[in-house]
Amino acid sequence: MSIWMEESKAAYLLLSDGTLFTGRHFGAEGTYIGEAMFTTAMVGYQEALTDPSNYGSVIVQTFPLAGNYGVNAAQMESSRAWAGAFVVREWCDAPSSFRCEGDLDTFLKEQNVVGLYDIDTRHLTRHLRDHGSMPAMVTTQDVFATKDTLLQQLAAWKVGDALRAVSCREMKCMPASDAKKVVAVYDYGCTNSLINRLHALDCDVVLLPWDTKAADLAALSVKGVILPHGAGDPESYGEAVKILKGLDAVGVPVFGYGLGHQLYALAHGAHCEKLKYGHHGGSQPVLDLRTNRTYVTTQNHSYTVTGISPDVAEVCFKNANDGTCEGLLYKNVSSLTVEFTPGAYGETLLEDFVRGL
Amino acid sequence: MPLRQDIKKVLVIGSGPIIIGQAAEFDYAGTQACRALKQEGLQVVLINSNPATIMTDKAMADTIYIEPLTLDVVKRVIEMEKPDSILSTLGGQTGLTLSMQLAEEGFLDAHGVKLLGARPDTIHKAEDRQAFKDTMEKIGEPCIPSKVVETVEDAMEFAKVIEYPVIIRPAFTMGGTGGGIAHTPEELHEIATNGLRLSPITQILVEKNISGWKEIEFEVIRDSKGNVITVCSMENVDPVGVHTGDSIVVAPAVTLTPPEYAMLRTAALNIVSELGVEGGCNCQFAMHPERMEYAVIEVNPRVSRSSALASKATGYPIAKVATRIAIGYSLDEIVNAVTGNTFACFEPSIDYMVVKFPKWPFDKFVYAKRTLGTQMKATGEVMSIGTSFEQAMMKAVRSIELSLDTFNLPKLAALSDAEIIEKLHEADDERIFVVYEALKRGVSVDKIHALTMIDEWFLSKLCNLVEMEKRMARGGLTDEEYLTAKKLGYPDSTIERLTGEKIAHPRHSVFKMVDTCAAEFSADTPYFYSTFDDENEAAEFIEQHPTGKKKIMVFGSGPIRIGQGIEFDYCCVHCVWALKAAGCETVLVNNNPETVSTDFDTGDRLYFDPLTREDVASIIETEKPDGVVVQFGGQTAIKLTKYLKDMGVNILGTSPDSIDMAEDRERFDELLERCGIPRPQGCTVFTEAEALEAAEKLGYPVLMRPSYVLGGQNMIIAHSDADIIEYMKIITAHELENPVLIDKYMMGTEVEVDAICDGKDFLIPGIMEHIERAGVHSGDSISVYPAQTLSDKVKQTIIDYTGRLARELKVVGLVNIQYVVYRGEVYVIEVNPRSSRTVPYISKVTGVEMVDVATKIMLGETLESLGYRGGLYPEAGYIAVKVPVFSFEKLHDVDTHLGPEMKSTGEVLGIAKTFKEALLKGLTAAGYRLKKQGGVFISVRDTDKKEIVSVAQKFSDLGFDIYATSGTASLLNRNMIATSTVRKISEDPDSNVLTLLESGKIDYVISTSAKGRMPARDSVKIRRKAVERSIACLTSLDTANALADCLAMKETIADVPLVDITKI
Repeated sequence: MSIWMEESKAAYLLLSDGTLFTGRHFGAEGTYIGEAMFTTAMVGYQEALTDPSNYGSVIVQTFPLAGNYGVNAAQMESSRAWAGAFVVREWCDAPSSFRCEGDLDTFLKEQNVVGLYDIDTRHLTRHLRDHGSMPAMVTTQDVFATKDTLLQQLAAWKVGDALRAVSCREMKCMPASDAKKVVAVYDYGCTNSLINRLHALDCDVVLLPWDTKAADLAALSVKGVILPHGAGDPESYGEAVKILKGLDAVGVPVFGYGLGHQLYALAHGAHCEKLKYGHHGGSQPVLDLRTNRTYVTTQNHSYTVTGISPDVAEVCFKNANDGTCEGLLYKNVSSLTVEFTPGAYGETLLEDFVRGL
Repeated sequence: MPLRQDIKKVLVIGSGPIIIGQAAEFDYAGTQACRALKQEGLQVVLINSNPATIMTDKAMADTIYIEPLTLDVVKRVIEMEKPDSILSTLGGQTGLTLSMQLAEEGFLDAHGVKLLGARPDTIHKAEDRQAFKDTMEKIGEPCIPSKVVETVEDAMEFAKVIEYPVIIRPAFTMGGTGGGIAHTPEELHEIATNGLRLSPITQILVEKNISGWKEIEFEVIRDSKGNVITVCSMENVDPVGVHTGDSIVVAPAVTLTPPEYAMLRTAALNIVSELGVEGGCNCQFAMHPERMEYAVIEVNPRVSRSSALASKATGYPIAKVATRIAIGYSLDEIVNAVTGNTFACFEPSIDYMVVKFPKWPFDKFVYAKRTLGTQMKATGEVMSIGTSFEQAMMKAVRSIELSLDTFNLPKLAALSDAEIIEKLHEADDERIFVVYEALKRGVSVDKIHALTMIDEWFLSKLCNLVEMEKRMARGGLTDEEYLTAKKLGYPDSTIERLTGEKIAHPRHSVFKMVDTCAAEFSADTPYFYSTFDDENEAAEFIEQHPTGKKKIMVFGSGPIRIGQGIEFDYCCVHCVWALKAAGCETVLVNNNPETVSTDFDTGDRLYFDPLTREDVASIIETEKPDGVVVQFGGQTAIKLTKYLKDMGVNILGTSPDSIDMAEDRERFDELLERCGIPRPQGCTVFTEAEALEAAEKLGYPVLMRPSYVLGGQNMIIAHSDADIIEYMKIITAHELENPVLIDKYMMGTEVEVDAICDGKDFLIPGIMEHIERAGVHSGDSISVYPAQTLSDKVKQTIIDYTGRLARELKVVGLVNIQYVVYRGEVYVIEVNPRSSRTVPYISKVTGVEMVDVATKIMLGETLESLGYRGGLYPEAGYIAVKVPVFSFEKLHDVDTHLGPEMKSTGEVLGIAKTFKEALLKGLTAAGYRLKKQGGVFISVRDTDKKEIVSVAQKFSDLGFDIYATSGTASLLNRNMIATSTVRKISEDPDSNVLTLLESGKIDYVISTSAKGRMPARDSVKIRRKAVERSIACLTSLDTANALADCLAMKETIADVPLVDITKI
């Protein structure tokens, strides 16, 4: 970012409640509508942009600086950016890192992500905190003349079928160098870091389209199934839930997190409620009710599971701040699903699950 | 787990006097600890030798000992008080080391005392070099190739293996005392010898030099359940090689990619888990700038300067949480006090940039070696918060009290490009300014990075400031460009100066919250920082929290430096407490992260911002206080008085006009004349010629100083024309805004008084007398309360003069007056209509809560309405002796000779029933070993020769061997004191004063010289050698005399009863 901001064009963020922020433009030009959500993580903008679970998002970064260390291929969570707009107070045009392969502005242009900077991001964050995350438009076009039409557009906006959009279409085998077992991953929005972790645990990975039938899964004779995090409203994924209902019959243990956790719970008779502004960022304390230890976890979701029958599963994790359910231990098969991204310090849930297969 | 049931009474060990490397941060930590313990209903016993601290306040603990922090004294306290537990991790290295010694000796076990906070094995694993290495190896954490050695020979041997340069780190010393980087075997020999001597266990680490790697720190907290979190990451702008206390530090780390960040965070958590720390812990890493490689530098299993910084940078109260953990709570049971509705088991998110900037004492110590290395030299620091790095840096530079508002250091302008590039090679206190100058002259970021290893990211950001200033120089800023300049951190006055134009549409700043969570949750007890943006959260917060109370704003004292120390923080905090108790809403403004005043719950609201005019104006604009208090924040706050008055702000207490009257020389003279009070003759000058003429008229010796000073900055006694010429050269190197004062120097007894006045009546809680005669700065003198040698007539005169001055100045609040008693006559030297260094100790000893009373008076009470009779307060039943403490071993080339310029960094107090016992305690607490036999080396200037005989006689009578240089020796021998003659340095390179000092035969040095300061002088070399060899060096015959009397006592410290000051 040059300090001469007047050299860049004006850009706008319009929230569905009519609140308007005027800032400056960087990255790709154009207009993007998505769900505005803030992240309090202080590093990891590239990962956030390319994480499929951020499909349909306008990402607002609360830390004021982005692009300090540039971007590099190794930090891609998938092959492309899924968030459509990125909002930050300031971006850095002189990144510094030995790992840097390019700057953030160029990356956003390549990935067609509309960028907005030089706004009071704390003001925006507090607005989203108090009023909940909501549809928003980031645009370089004039918004004043057509504000009413744009608000109608925002009111009508739905994230749509994120699963269909982010999932692979065909089954994909991703072998590890020294594989001892095979696990399947339903691609709700699988990240490269998940694949890398499974490979590090000596697992061949079979990546399955989200709609792979239980019978087809059974034919693969995998040792375990991972249901990863993904984007969108879990209650809208009836078809995926139906498939998961058949999974128990296959008898393969399941490890789920984020959306995977939510869908699996829905398949077992629970409900999902939307949280006011969700859990986003790297500092959500989660209490392990079995060990009484608390872990600081990374989360990125807007829903929580309620109403699971104690006969089906027991709540084994809860959020230490708001008390919401953060994890379920199922009784029928040894399945474990959690709301947070596994891998918080001191916690080895994914590793234990895979090793136990 | 909730509170442990087996804990009822806890002993807290403080960190002792302020020295470089161990400063106000431990008062902050200790105060938080005491409050947390008391909130749990536990009984608290406190020991700390430092009387200027808030933690030694009666409200802080049930039993308080201001006693020497020696092993024996602590043992006696344990035997008397029988605590069931001892908290080891809140009192800095001093507290930790004492606790460990008590544990290792088995003393704690024998007395059934539990060690809270850190177990002995944890301390051992973190502090013992070899044990630390072994532990790191065990968990696979990489260390820097190094070896622990106990002899110089082994050090040399190992250095050959790992190749030069190598770093030396002595074991168990504070702030890296005695360490250094050796490039050659010769340098290694010198540093290793010194380091081995300074290490209490004669152990040093020789280590591969990784200078230039990034230095990254993590603050970690762990509880007994094993829950562990990182509070904050910090990145040093100055790479490895400069002590982190001397580095500009930013939070959070900004140049690490997520894998690097995760790697170091995981390492920090692994280390703390393996060490089994229960509480706070600081982990320092070196990160290779070009590859995924790191090394663990060091780990401190206790709260530290960095944890104070991390606390203030994030809002997470590390010391408070660490204390709760120590007494049994776990992180998920402790409520986050800022949000009020979430728990302490989380990692704070911040949505701003924090910069810490060190404050060095080189403006005082003009001849000190300014090079920065592994040994810390800064006395204090400021912290600034901004929405960008540039903004935070700009705030820091104007907070650091160097009279700068940008990174342009005027004196660098005269250097050639080649000289600037040459200077980039040196890591010293001015490096950031040299870097800035180089950028301004077009030296490339890459080149500067190659020379300094400062990350390109920081350099690019500084380029933005250079670019902005170039734009400003062209003039004609648009409103938009003006806003950009504001966002980058430029005050209006600076913009107007740089553009040469009036600002068309000036803006006030808005304020954002520090809330630990980047706005994710709403906050209960936030604090604020300024920036330029659309939403003013402070204004909104004030509106939503109406109290209907009178609102008073208190200005703090900024960074700790020599002359303006922790005492002023004590006063500010007490003022706030008194205001709160009187039903006022209080607002604090300060920029020092080490202090209690910047704890978010000290006042009702805190603004963490620079104490400069424009910054303060914006805060006042938002807060609209009913009144402000400037008299407790030292010169930093006093300086704002006139500006605030011009703004129309209601200043509580003594009027700005009276403050000016005391500080303006001519008006002060008129005042004294009106009061009929004499003062040493003097006049004001601007030039060298005028100075010489004045000295001629007054007659040598004369006292010279700039007007408007604190701590005797740049103050000397001139004995000759040459002294005046040297002095005027130094002083005129800076812009001479205020004139230089020249006074006749009177070598009498110095007396100091702090008084409280209500505009009509006055109260003197106590008269203090200095052991050293006038000429030694009051802050460096041993000060005795109550005065021991003054006649009643003199005392009455002092009381009378104090009353006259207080009334004539219409003082409302505190006033500090210094007198000299010369040939039975009382003269006024100085009147400071504000709080002073001695207020905390006099308050504690006399029981008159001076700040409390002064604050109430400012609010409209009178001494009479508060139940005080005027005049001198009845003397307490105890004698209190305040002894200064210096940090000379940290500052190379500084002459230790005491004079009118203050040199001490801290102080201790000795309290006892008799003067001698109090002195004994004070000297012991100050670190004097008080050996009763051995050798004394004496070398004094001619004017002292008459008096030295009786002093030497005392040492001789005690059985000391006396050594002296030829002149002094023949004098003593003539007076029948057997004295060995020692050759001067120039007389024999193999056998002279210095070799004598190295021989270990000498325990005390008495050295005075007419001229000093220049490191090349023999007398300075002798005194420096004494510092290096840890030999007590006395530069005033009065101190030497008092010490000799103390040594002659039959009693030892063990015979003197300990005093619980809460019972005085």
